[in-house]
Amino acid sequence: MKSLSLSLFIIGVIFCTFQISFGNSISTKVQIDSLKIAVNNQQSLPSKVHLSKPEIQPLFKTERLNVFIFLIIISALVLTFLFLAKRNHSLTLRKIAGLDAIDEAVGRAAEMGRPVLFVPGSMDVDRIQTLAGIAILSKVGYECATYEVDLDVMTRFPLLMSTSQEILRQSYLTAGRPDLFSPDRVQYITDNQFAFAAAITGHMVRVKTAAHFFIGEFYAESLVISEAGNTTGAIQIAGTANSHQLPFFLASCDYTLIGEELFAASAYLSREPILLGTILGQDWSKALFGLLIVLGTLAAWFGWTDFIHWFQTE
Amino acid sequence: MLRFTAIIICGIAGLIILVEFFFRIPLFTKLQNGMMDWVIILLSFSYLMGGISIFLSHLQRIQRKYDGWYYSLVLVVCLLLMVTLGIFVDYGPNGAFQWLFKNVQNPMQSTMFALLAFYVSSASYRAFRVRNLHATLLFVAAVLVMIGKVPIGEILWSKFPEISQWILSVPSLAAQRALTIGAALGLIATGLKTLLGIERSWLGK
Repeated sequence: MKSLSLSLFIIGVIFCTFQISFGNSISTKVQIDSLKIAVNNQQSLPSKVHLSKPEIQPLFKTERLNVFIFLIIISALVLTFLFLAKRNHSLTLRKIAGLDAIDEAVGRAAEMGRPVLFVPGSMDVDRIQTLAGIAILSKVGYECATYEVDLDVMTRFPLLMSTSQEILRQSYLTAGRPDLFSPDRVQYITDNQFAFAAAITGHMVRVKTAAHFFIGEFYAESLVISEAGNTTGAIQIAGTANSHQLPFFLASCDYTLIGEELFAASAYLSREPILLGTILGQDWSKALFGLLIVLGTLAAWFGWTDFIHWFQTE
Repeated sequence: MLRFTAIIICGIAGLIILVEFFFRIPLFTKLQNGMMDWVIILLSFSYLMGGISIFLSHLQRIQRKYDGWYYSLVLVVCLLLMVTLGIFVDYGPNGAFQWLFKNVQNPMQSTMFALLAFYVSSASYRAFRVRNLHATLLFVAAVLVMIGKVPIGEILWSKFPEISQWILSVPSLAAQRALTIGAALGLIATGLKTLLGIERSWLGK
């Protein structure tokens, strides 16, 4: 399977290189050829070609100035606290019940002798929430390898399947049990939303998995899978930053990582001072936003429309 | 070395996208467009890889007679049937492929979606059980919102729709915005850490 993936990747790269190298020249050639055909067929061509003077636009997209300024400020805050955290190792985070419960969930699966199910969201690896979910998958994989528990991972996209396989391979290796890792347990199901939900539901009911992790970006399928999982009696830990799906997870799961807790997971689990520092930077950014909300309220009160409009994005 | 190369590629790709978002530099626009084309082409190949993976995985289950192997048999037969019909027979609007899609897959999808109604009922029942102060508040708010949204609510008391709308527009929206701001900041920080190579969990570290 690995060699197949590699060969497909190489073919893909060759296609990409071909597209980049010849794509434009081919389209230009096609245009010239179609002009030649028109001339040969004595079709009417425009008598005069009007060349309009190109409009000179500024180098910077000024309509995105507010986004740019805030990105710089937030990045500066995060990076400042990141470097400060290198010196100060005494940073502590508040308890996050959902992350502390990972050991409990895997331990319960070990006691029952049943597998653990992990679903890293229903979006692909290009989404930040999926990356955050993968960080937790790494920890769950490590725990499963340590306690010798089978771990099933179900993905909606093939690239996510490959990434999850590599993440778990590394986790099992770190735990000193590479022999327990089976890439076949990481499955690509389908990219169809409800077929994906149906497959997960069926798997939970048939295999009777003891612990479920639904961590990443979810949409309408969130309630279908979490409620079906709830009926099986398994311990369930969910996490998403999609505010519309959070009530469903809160109602159906034992523990839920809410919004920013999902992004803090990597730092919380690794306890690396540098990563903890970035969370402190986020907290200061939140304080800044709190101040801006107060200023915005005052601006709305006194009718300072320019101040309010400056924050609007395109 | 391989891990370091991956971090470098990720950083450069992220930087190109970021610069193109804020600046009008033709070179970066061209690079970004090129990268987007790369993504589409690589994704197409990844689907081929995924299809082969799912086929082989279920074939193995049938051969080894695992529990529920007959489900795998159904999947393999359907997979082969759809591929054959789509590529070799007729993909047109009146073809067998489209007929199966409209008359088999679409109804099945709708069925799964319809299950949401029942799941909402059972989840709501569990969430609204009055056990403590928080659950009581949730229950009261939910009842007020529901009464305000149905015609009988307005008949009972004309203020119910206003109360319902106030709950949705003020406390509920405030909580949602707080969540959104927190999540957005987490998203920016995670993106920054990934681009700078500080966050390496996606590499299995």
